[in-house]
Amino acid sequence: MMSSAIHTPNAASADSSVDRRGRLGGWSRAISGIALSVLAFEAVFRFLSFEVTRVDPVSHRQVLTMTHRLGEGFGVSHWDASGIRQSPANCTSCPRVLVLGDSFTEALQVNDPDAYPAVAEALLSSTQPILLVNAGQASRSPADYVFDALRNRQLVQPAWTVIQLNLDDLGPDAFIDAKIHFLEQGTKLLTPVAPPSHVYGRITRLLGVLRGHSALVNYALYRLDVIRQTRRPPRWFIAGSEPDGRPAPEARKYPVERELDLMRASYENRITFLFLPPFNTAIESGETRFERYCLSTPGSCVNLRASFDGFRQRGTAPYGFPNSRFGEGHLNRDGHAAARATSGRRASEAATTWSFLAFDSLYS
Amino acid sequence: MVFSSLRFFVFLIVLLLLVAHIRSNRANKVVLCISSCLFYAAWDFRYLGLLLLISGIDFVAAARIHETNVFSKRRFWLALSIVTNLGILAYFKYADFFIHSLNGVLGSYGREVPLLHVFLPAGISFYTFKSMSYTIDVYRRQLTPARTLMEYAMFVSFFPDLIAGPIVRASVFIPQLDNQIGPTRSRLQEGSSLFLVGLGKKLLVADYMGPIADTVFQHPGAWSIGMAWTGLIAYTIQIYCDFSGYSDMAVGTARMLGYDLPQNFRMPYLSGDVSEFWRRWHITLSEWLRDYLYIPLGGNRKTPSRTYLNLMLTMILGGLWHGAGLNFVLWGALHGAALSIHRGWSRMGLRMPRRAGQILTLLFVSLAWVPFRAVDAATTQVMFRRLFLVDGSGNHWLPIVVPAGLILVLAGHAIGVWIEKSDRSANFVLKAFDLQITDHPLSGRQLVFGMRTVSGAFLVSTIVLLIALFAATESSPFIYFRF
Repeated sequence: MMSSAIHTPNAASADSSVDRRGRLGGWSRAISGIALSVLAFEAVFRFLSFEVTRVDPVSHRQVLTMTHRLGEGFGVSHWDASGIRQSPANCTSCPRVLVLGDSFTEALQVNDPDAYPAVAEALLSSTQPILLVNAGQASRSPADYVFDALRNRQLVQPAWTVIQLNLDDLGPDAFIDAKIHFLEQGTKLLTPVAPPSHVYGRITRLLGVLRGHSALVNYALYRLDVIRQTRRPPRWFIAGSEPDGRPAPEARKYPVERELDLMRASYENRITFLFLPPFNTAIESGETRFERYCLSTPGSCVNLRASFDGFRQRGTAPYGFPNSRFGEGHLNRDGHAAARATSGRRASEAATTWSFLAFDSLYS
Repeated sequence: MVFSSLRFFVFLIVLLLLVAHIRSNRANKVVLCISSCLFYAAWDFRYLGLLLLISGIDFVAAARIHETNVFSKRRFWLALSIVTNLGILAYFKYADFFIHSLNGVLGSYGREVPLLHVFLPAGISFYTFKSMSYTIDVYRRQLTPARTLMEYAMFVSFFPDLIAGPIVRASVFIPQLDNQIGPTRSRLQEGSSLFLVGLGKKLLVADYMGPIADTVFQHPGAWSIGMAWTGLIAYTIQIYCDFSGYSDMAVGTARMLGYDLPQNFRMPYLSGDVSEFWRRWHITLSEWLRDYLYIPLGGNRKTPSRTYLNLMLTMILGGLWHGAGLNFVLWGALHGAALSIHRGWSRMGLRMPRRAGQILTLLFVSLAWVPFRAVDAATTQVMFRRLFLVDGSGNHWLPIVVPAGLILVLAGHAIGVWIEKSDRSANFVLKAFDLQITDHPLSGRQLVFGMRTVSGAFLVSTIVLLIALFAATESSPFIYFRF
């Protein structure tokens, strides 16, 4: 009884070693729990939002699969190495329509067969074999389409080109210095220029590799970027009702007509402009100028606004998803179907007619 | 400085480190008082003087009340305190509302009084009520006044409950100033657990429901009946998670700093009747209204009709406390009428099955949020028409965040019920997840997270990752900041 109560040095060292082991055990359990949680999130994000590149066993080409089920829409898309979305049609000799556009044409929010170029292609192929090449890419603008025109024409050899535009494309989007942009020289000349290529540091390159391997890291870095962009660090002390002292920037008048002319010329006038206006707001000056241009210039223009009344009658919208906002954001399935209805047939007719004309000219 | 902002985390961590290393109780109070002033100044430095002025007047008034036994003098100092507090509140909060209402009458005579366009100081409704209760309690001889102005200023300006409650009584807070506890290990664990739950309610639920409710309430006429109900459900969830989330964070922050604040919410949407709802929703305001308005009006000690009148008056004034607008008056009147009906029903000895009572109460409370949320009477009318008129018109949309939020809230309530009822049989789950249930006399039962087991660490890191990765990027300010 007595001996157990006496605290000997040996007993103390045994106690401290047990204590240390207990602490180590506690730490290892905590780290295991955290690691398990991270793994669970990795699995969830692989299902919700990730990009995987693999080699297709049939074509032996690299295929990029993009899963986009978070934030807006629920789409899985497949892309080839040159940035062209997978198409159900498999014809090499039929007329090709090149579809250029930004994230609205890229349409990560819907599955491959639901993007408007694929919908149009599937519908038109039943009567006339045709290939619609979806080369949409987020943040592209008219400056990119003009800058890449030669490469696009050589790569796809299109009989016709559809260029999807929205208000931002006809406004500030083509004049951002950080990406390919137009340079205005005088009142006549508009030149697309590329920004100097950016050399990334070691950390960015390392993060790039990590992003490619982990869906969780990829999404976490994306979120950091979004938070950095949306949350301007506030001042420490604010007077609530004090208005922001800075004057509003003067509205710039963009050379809409010259941009449209340049795109037409870059694609040899074989072009259809597909305009996607906002659903919830009134007509803005950019759209009015686009419409005026289309009336004054012989060519092919279509405006999704033509389908808006139908949407309103049905109480639905061409933009927005159950996981985003009604009538805002990117085209949903109905919106893609409407874009197909307004642009697809026009482009197909033009493409096939031109293709036959070109064919005839070879033998005449 | 919003609780859910990165800036607040930096502020809190620095403060905790500072408070943990201060030995002297007096220095601790000085640091907390200065940081509370900095916290308030971060909202609007111009009104810091107003906060200190109210503290000064009420401190002096209470001291004078306490030191004299002359009835008239005591009455005078009490009246001075009440008139000052209500006067400041009336000027900043209701001046433009009264002028607007007056212009409605004067308009027919071709006259108009210009609006003052007064900016509402953050938390004014909360700290005036808090300060006013102090002088009233001293007058009623229920409380000994604070010893120093600094102690009293710390009570009024204590930053966790300064902007949106809970409305803490001086009798609860001031005695805690004598014994410095500081941020102990268990307090940090309890406080951070509560803070984490509150942060989750705000960032994972309320902030997702807000835009849906805003979309519907902005143009209710544009939406179908299904979407009108979806919008109402979204707001019902939003206001609960937003306000109770804030209260959890406030109580959690105070706990980490070594102070205890009272519980403000106890699963109100599970109430079996409207009277129970007010014992579970914004508990500190309900108790304030009961002790300082309903009971002085006569409470239920007079005739039944007088009791109904008192209930109506209390709730209408309670509605008006939330904001200067007829919509808040209507909301208060609806609750007053419901309380009167419930009282009459109970007096007749009638009873309703608990489940039916819960459904009916939740339906009534949800519908009563319509005037509370709508900007004007016309929007209220259109919203009610949309909710009950089946004509097949309007836009159809089902935002998936609403069912997701509903599932989260139901799961949270199920856990809440489990915590309330848990006993030894629940020990297996608690032990496995390293959870503790603490029962505090002020803040009630609470779940405390631990990381000493693998599943406990998994649970905590999952909640943290959920908040970090899924929190709405554009967080809206807490709803009750406006009041």
